[in-house]
Amino acid sequence: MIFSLIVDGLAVGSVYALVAVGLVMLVKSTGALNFAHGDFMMISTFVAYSLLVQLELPFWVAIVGALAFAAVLGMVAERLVIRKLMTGPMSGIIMGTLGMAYILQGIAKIVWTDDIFKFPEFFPGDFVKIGSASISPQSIGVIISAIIIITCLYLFLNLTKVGTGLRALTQNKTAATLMGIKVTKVYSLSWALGGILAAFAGILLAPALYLSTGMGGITFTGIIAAIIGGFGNMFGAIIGGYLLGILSSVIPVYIPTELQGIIPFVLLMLVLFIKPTGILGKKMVKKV
Amino acid sequence: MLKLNNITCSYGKVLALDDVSIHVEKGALVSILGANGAGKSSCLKAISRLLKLQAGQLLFQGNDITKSTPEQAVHNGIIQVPEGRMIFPDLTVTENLTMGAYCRKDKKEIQNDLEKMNSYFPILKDRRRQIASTLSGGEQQMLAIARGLMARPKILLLDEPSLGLAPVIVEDIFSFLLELKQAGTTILLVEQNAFMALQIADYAYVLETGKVTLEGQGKELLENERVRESYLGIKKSK
Ligand SMILES: Nc1ncnc2c1ncn2[C@@H]1O[C@H](COP(=O)(O)OP(=O)(O)OP(=O)(O)O)[C@@H](O)[C@H]1O
Ligand SMILES: [Mg+2]
Repeated sequence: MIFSLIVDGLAVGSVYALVAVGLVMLVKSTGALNFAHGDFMMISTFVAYSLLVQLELPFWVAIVGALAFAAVLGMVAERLVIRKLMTGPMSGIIMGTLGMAYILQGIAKIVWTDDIFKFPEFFPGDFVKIGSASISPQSIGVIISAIIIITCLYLFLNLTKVGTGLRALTQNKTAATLMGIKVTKVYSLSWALGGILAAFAGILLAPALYLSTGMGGITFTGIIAAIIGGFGNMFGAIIGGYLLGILSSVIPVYIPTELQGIIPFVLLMLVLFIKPTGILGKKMVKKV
Repeated sequence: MLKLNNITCSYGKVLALDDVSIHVEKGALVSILGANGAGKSSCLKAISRLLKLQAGQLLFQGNDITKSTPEQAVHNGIIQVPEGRMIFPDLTVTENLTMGAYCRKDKKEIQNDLEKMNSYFPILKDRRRQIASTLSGGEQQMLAIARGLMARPKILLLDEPSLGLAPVIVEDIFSFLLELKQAGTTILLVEQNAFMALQIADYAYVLETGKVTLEGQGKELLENERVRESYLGIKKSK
């Protein structure tokens, strides 16, 4: 029983981890906390749904289509909203990305209405028995997919020239410019990647959940996961995501349903109480 | 090779460079001296295209580069080692070096150049997998110079490479610059350490609050009364 709950938690945690990693990557590369991240996810998942169910395209075409849509959406957001606002104060970026969130929700409601939709499972099949526990193939598929996606991102950032350039840019913009790194191109790329990560998260999450225009609220879960892990640290974001996933799957069994919503916040406060910078966070060095 | 013709630059209302003309011949080592805030770094920023010109013209190998972008400057072979080193703190030593070669496509040659940097600065070889922020100040400066060289500069702009380093290390770095020059690299060196800079410079300019107030051959300026008093701290005898 507890074992299958943990596996389900790992599946949800995979999605949280993908959202949190995307958020952290955008914060590090462009300094923007993307409050529209969950809505990038929502609208991209709706695109996948339309391609798959309404246009009856093959599974992989729908996924590639949704990812391409998400990448373009990310680049457009960067070009039209972020690039201007990132030169100004943080409050401008916050309002800018919140604005995008509302715009995307509005568009989604017009195109797909306020209804809920059933998203088909990608990994059908019988439950797998391990001992007395039975595990859904969907959960296993989601966990493995997320691990593959995160590994690919890691390899891209660490083993390719452009990926290393993106990390270099986050560490010293002037120096990166002096290396001939085209800063605007890298910003654009990081938002395309951010969009793709959000779309993956949505596509992996949707079969377990009904699809609705309200899905974007996951942004806050992602932010909490990122803070728990130590804001600004991608590994931390992954750990935070999985921790949050497992606990929100296991704990509800032992507490009244009314209290379920506070689990992420209680965990957040507990972690920050023990280690104010989060699990992998570095000590803040105040710059004078 | 590089010509700044009557350039003027400012940050908002702060005038940083006022009608500055500086010429660097191919193969020469030219130095810019000046006190804090004189406009030395601004001069290099203007050349690297980080700072817009309000007036004047930049020529590189006969081409007008006044309107080019920082990336184009790098592609042209104008490479700056900035003030304060600005290494990438969380990248490894090797990753820092490969970032220097970001605009190059000749993978094999890049590998050779990495080896070359390791022979120039053996300490970097020992530390190649180490995160750059854990290097000492002197090592970081060597890394910054090596990273610049990885771009195969036609002209290397150095902004105060001696800043904050012990005298022995400063000597190492200056003798390395002299070797580089002898190997044919054109160098524009900004320094506050006027004595060292004038000793190795073919030609030098003195900047004061954004204006060139004095220029001449390195040896000449070493003998100049005003330079001796203001920048070398040597009082007139008698
Ligand atoms: N980003 C900036 N914004 C506003 N003013 C600036 C900026 N950078 C430099 N200045 C001003 O421009 C002038 C020249 O600065 P610059 O950095 O070129 O001097 P410097 O000769 O390199 O000095 P130092 O030896 O201290 O490095 C100074 O008055 C400085 O205050
Ligand atoms: Mg300076």
